[in-house]
Amino acid sequence: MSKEKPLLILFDGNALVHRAFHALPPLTITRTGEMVNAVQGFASTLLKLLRDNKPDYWAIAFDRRAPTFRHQMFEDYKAQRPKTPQELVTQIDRVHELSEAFNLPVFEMDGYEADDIIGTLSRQASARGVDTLIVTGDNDMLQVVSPDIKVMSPRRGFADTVTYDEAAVQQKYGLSPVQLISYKALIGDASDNIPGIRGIGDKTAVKLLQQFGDLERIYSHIEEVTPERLRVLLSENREQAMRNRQLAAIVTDVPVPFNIETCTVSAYDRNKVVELFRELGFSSLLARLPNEIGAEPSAAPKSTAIKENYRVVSTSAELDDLALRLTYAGTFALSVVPGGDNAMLSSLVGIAISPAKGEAYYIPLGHETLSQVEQLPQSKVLAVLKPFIEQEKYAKIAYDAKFDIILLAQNGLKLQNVSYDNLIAAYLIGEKSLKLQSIAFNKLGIEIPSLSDLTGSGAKQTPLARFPVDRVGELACTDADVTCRLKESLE
Amino acid sequence: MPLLAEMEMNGVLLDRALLNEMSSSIGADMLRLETEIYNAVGHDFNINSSQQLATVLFAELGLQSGRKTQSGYSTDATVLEALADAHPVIKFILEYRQLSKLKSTYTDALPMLVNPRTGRIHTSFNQTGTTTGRLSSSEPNLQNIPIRGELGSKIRQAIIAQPGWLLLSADYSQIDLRALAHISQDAELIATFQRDEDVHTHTASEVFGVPDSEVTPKMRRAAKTINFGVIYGMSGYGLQQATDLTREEAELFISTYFSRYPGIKSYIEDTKKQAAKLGYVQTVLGRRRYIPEINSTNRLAREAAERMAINMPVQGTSADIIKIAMVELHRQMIKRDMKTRMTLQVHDELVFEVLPGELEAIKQLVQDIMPNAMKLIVPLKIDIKVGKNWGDMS
Repeated sequence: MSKEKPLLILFDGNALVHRAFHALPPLTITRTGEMVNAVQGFASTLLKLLRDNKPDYWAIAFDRRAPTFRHQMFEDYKAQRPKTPQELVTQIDRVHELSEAFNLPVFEMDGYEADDIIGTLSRQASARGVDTLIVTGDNDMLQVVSPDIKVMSPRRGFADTVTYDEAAVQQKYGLSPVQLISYKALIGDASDNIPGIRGIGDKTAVKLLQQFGDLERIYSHIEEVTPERLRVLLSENREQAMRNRQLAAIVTDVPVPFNIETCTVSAYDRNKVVELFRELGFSSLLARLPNEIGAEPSAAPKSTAIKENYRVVSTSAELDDLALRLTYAGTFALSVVPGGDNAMLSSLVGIAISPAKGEAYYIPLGHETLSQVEQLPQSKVLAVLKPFIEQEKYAKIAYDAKFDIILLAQNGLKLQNVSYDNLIAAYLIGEKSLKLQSIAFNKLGIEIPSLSDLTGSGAKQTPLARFPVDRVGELACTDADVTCRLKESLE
Repeated sequence: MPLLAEMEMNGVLLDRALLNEMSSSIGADMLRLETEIYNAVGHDFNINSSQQLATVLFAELGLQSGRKTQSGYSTDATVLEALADAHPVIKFILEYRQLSKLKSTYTDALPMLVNPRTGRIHTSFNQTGTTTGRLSSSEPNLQNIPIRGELGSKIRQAIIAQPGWLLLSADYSQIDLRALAHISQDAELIATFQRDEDVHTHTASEVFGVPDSEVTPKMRRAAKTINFGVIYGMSGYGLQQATDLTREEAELFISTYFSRYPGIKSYIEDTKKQAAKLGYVQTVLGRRRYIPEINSTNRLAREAAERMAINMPVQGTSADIIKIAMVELHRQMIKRDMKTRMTLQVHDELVFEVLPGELEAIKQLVQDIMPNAMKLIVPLKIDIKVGKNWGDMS
């Protein structure tokens, strides 16, 4: 699609949810057991399209439960379909909610299927010089493909997609998009319970259509059809074929009020989406949520949702103050910043300590870049902290205490009396994602950045020691603060 | 937790010379197999490429292909094992793969994990990596070294004690089945353990209707499979896959099993019902696991949740038992100011690196603490072995 023309993305809500429900492994909300695999698949697809295709307009269409003109025309239409499982119904409702939160306009209409609405909207968009990308789980939509309209379908695990333009349809079926209507009229469609003409299969149908063009022309040249058996078959079933054609054809003139401007991709209430993601347990999608729609997700680390009283400890006086503070506090949360991933081999970059909610201190120990801040000698800091870390009378709260114990032990400190470990607590109550960021989001509703956002990961990783004290300090203080807050909410 | 940190820091010592030697000997064996494979096929190809392998097996040799994967026909172990009799090359390929896996995950990889400062390897024990509450270990994962086979045992031989010291291994016997006996209160299973009989032999005698003394190795194998399998929700189909029984035999076997062990049958039924009602299951100690999927309308999800529900109380209880024993042992070792250290926990086994002067003391401690870690309706039993390395112990 040429990028000069504006782009409209149309989602087929029902087909996508259906497809995702069956294609994706079961996923439930931990507490309630509500199935949300398809909702997650949908949300993930939506975020991906938003990022990669940067649409100018978008909308989503749903089927209504009311019977459509197809049911009136043909009693058995979709009659074989089993009752929609409850887990699909609730997920369709969730996708409605999600659409609303994203400010994604919803179209649905009694008497018509989502297919028809999408067919109509895409034609209207074409007429206004707008390209359309239809996102669906259903190949029925392929008949509307044109130079301005493409159809995208998820494949396999939903991560992969396939996009059909006219050439791709031709290649897959040997027919043009519009010929697919006649094709379906001849061979039927088991999924819609439309019986094909007995004795005509895929190969025969394609051959007929390649020879004559479409169903009308097959019948207007019926005397040219050979062999005779086929001619008789077609003649005898003319009525059925014509009815099928009508059932199969997607309507492109649904009387739906549509003004493309109302579908402009526009600002959305990010907090509303965040809240919904939290309820659904989609903490992993959070990072992909753009700050503003239409804008790139910011590459810089997110600002913390909790701006509190965080301080860097860089003078002897400040260190003494902290010691006094800890003496009174009795209990504190800590977060140890390592030089690398392996606790056995890491140096100490710094320690963050939070004696109370919203209050945290960062003591830099091994930073290589000294921005404006001085570092106290490591031996001095450790000597002052030693009693607090080692003595049983001070209870410590941690996240993954085993890591902290090992890392501190390598530096001569024996971390004792860890009274609470949020990692273990979260595991025990059955949280699915155990990352501190996820637990904080799911339990406290706050989004916190992760140290690995800063360092990157894998081969491109930059050691934390190379970052300035204030940046690491803020993140480490947040970790310690959240660790402190989590104890209350996990207990 | 402090104990696990300590175990990680303790680490284990590696016999690097032995591993080196093994790497080269495995390498040589692989070269020999490569030649055999090329000769059998008639030309060279990249055995490690599953695509090339699929072409050779299915297109060139015309063997029956099975499932299709993203990149072509599957050549995984199940597919190859099914073809084992169809062509001599299959046996070589399976053997080649096994060696290649051992070499890359252990004999080549372990020496690279040695900490340069301590000269030991420090496996990482993860308390939150399993759904049942067992520990898992990584970098390296020492829990999945093959138990059987000469090579698996040889890799264990490379885990050694520091010079002059010894390794002691203490292994719970049938801890899961004992936990099952306790939880299900099945009279027959309880009686077997109270009489201290071989549980698999006894199950075989019950199910095949012969006296214990007439149980053949094949019968015992089938009984063992079902003892471990049924509590994980194994079906007749699963049993058929795991043994050489026919489907009918397998179904009959399972129904006979349940009629001999009615307590287990009702445990399974009750647990499923309870889990569906409460949304969670728990161990003997009350550690819970939430499984909301138990009420899913998706059959696969629900069945997986049901297997989880049956399995977690049993395996979770075993995990709780060994953790209690570990903590208590650690406490007593500190109290006695012992130099001996706990270094590994692998499934139901604890490994200690022992100062020779403390051997009798640690043996006594282990014998006192491990079988008494939790009071079950059946006795807990352990086997203690001592050796210079983890492979040769007695």
